[in-house]
Amino acid sequence: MSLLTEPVGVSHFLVVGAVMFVTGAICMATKRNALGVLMGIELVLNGANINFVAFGSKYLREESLGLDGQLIALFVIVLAAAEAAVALAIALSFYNNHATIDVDQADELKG
Amino acid sequence: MLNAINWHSFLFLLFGGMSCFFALGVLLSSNVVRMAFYLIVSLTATAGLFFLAGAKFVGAMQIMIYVGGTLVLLIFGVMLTAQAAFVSMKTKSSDWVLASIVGASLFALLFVAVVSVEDWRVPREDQSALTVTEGESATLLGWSLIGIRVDKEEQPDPQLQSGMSGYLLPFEIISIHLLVVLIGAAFLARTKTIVFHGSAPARVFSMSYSDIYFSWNGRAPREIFWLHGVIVLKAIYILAAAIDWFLIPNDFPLLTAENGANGLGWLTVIVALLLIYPAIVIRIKRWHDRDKRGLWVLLPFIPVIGVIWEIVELGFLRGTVGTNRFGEDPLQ
Repeated sequence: MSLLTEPVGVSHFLVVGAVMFVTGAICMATKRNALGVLMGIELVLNGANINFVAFGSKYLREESLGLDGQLIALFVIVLAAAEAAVALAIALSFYNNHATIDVDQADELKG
Repeated sequence: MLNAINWHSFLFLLFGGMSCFFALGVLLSSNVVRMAFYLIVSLTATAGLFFLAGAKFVGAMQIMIYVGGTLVLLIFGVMLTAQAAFVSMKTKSSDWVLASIVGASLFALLFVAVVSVEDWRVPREDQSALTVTEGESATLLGWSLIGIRVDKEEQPDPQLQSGMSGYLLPFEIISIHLLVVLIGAAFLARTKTIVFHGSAPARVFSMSYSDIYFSWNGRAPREIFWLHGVIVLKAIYILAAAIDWFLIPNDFPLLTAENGANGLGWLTVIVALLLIYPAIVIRIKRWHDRDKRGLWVLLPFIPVIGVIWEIVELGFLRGTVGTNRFGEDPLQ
């Protein structure tokens, strides 16, 4: 009940960020579909973004990062968009050449 | 009972729970279509968390760029590759065991670190006294992206004052980065050749973009000359001049020195210089099509007559019928 009546602090946001980060990391490690790996990366970036925004929030902490947190979060969003575009292009190119999207099949560079 | 509820915390629990729950859904589902849907819900709930933390602009961007752009892209990727065999791919159970051990220990580490700092755990005491206007950050963000930190102009330490210059440089770098990345992505995902239907329906003429714009070997039909040599190159030049004229103000302090007042700014000059090479190689291929050597590109240096001659011969006259010394007839 205390979570409902007490105001939230930075820690609460950080826990959500940690859950998303860990979920994304496991996604990247276990998914066999290249697009699943990509989704894991998006989750990781979002988990980090929650931390930046939480540390930059005036509502949660008196001595906050201020605008810097929000600006970094914006940069991360743009980087994520760029990364998704390139990764998707690579995945599609791989799919066109190999007729599969399974990352385990992409082992041509094995020594 | 209802009065005791802190609605900020309630909404935080709602959005935070949704974020975590659907993130776990992405992880545990093996169907890629469902994973994409769960990811959309999770990231939208994250935008709700941003709003709750007072970052309205970032929250709006999260919805617009992430949910509206990146995820639509991902869903297109899912649709383009959704063959029956790849919709649902199971992970080996040994992978699951290993990944959950690593993940659980990573989460335990993060969790302990997060809750052990007193300053992070204790909420701001006067939180209820804060007004909505405290979160008005869109204007401040805009200022700092063009290099002015309105929120931190009173920096007493002169050593740190130079660090208050805002984010103009990172903003420029990330803009160029995004442009380069998108061009690269379009190049990677492109279809390999473009196809023209010539006069003979049996044979299909094709020429890759790199052949058209960068190679001076072979022959090119009139279509290439008009479409690529004239329309595309002129359009790029006009676009550059328009950007120079309308988007780069002449009194912008960083650019005043180079930017001429007549609209022929530095961007136009650079683009014009870059366009010379493709313009020349397209003309060379067209001269080859007329069974003449590439040196004929120098023809426009003859005043008036040279230019008219070039337009008539390259733009309107058909190349030699059949194979000539420069290659096969592109129209047969």
